[in-house]
Amino acid sequence: MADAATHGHDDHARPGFFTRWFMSTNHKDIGVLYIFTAGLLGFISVAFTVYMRMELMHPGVQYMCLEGASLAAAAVENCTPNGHLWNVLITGHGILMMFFVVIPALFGGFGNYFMPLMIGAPDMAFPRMNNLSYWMYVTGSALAVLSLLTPGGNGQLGSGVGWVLYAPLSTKEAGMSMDFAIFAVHVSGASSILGAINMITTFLNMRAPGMTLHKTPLFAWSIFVTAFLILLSLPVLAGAITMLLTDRNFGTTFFDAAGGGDPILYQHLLWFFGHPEVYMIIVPGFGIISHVISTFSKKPIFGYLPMVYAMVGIGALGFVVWAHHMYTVGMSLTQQSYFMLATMVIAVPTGIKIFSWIATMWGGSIEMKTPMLWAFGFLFLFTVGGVTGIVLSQAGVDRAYHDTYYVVAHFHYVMSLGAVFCIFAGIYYWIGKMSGRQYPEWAGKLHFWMMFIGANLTFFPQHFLGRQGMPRRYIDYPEQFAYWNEISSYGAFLSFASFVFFIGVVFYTLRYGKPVTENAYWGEHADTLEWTLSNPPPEHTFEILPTQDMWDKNPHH
Amino acid sequence: MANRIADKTEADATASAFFDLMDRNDPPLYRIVLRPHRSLPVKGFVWLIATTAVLMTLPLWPLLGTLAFLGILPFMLMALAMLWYFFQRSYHDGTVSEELWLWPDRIAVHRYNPRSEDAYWHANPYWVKLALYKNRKIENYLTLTGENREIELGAFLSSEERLALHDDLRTALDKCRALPRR
Repeated sequence: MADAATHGHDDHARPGFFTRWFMSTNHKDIGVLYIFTAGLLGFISVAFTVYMRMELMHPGVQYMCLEGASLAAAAVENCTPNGHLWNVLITGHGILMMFFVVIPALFGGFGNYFMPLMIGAPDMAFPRMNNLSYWMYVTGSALAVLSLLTPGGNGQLGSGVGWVLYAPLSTKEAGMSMDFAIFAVHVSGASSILGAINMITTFLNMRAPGMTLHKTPLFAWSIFVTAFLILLSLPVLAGAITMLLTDRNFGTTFFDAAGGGDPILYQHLLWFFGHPEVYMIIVPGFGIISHVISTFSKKPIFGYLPMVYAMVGIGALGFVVWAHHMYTVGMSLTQQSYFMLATMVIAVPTGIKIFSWIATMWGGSIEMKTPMLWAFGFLFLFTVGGVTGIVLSQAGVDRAYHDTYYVVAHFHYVMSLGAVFCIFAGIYYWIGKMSGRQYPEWAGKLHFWMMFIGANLTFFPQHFLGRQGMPRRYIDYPEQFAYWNEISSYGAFLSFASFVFFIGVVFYTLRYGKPVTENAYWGEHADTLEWTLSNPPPEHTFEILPTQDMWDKNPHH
Repeated sequence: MANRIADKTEADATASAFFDLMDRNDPPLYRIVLRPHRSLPVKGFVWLIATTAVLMTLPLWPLLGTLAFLGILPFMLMALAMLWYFFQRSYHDGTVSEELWLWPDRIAVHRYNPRSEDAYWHANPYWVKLALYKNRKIENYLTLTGENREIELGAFLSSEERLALHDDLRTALDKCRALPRR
């Protein structure tokens, strides 16, 4: 039975290191594992970009030589450009960032840690499946890194086909590296689907009594919407890359015109997954930003219901706009018109969110703490990225911009400056809750300003390069593009420095940070359930379900 | 009660002893069944599966008649089946329940565990101690002590529900103890 545990409860034997971190079924521990693993892979992925920006800093190839890649610049005449290495790095950066860094950090990390807390669930619905999802993610990451180091095309290591793995490039790439990449995406996809089902079940079935769907906090909603996007779109990707795998290895011709297949079909399938994918990346960020802005404006969030339905709307629209990534593949005028209009419609729910955040701040008593700085940064830069998105949505205009640095600038503004700023906002917002220690405020602010300036310096000039016609995905460029490329590289170095500084801040905080004793240390407007718990929360939260008065601080929203 | 014993293929000594004691004709003074909260009603589950299934057909329509249809379909069906299975599993996990009976000379609790052995406890209500702890970690932790064993009650309920249960049980126990002894 349920023999009473109350006396023994406080002196539960603490699990050992191995048991706690390797066999964990506790959603909070798994969330922390996700964040740290994503951080490690993020570092690898960012290191690639720094090397690429070094190469792009000056015209000509100085670092990625066939004679051997090095960190010291070689004279141009002594260096045969190694385009394959370049292609491997952009592919690795894309695959890692899209599948193994941002979604695991926001959805796997913060989603696991805070969604069950916010809805008052004792844990995830399936704690052991949660552990399985995490380790499958680790397996997938290992395969992805392995694919960079196994024999691939051009007699070198790794495959350089781009993260989208377009056929026929991917079906013709030699070596087993490409197969490792496909397996990596497969395994991480399975992990994401299991995680998504777990999140959906938890969100729908484990809410505290009285917490109706329309009272659930926005972050929990954002995780639910994301989980649904994963559930609906990842099977399509799994099918597409399975066909890729059979095309490569078993002689099928799904994507090979010579055998009656259609390479464009692969692009359709990939982007049917790929466009929802970018919303999976950003929607959990929307949730975090909502809580941060409400907390530091000292006001409840403006327009709770429109905010919820805007997320649902963005998710739904995300499934019917995919072909705007492929205006140039030869679609009919009608098809292009449809995808163009549908794409522009997304500005409506996104606008609802942006304006609701601004309305939340309106008349509020705004406190410029670090998480709020990140939220501000997100708001401004995501809007910039959104505006260039509207520009790119025009099928005619896209003819000029397709595969130029304008596109690179656009999606880095929404991803690197949008989603990544959300991750940092979340970390600074909750690190005290998760670790029981608070970061030094000046350090958080310094990190923010370095990253904000650095990232803008990196990506804003790329708009100019794109308008000048510089194509993306090349190791070299004519010297006419040199000016803005050099500036962009300085920005990348500054951003990288800020990232290294951030790693220092995190470890300083975990070890020497000031202990936070107050449960709701950001004040009374941080009013979701996690703020009723101690810092860090006890191992078993809500073995007992919480009561409505604990979370319904704002019954009229 | 006798037929419940017959259902058990393995003659579990504790269980049969428990049900022997319960095999009596007088109605209990007080009886209650406790169940945990599941926030999605069955109707919601039907909507969820139906919506998911309809949305999943979206990428399949244009592929009708091509071989690629068969490349995508199995993954879609697998995802849908897993969603179905895990929701059923979640409902099944939610069937954990506790049933409590109170007679003038006996109080008994049967805990039904969906995925492990059932647990049983019984004692003489006259000597039973009902306690409500208000410690920092768990609000309104409710326990019953008797026959040298302290058991928790309604650990899966909300703390308000446990408070109400405590008051009900207190009243029932008081009434029971006030009965004239035979």
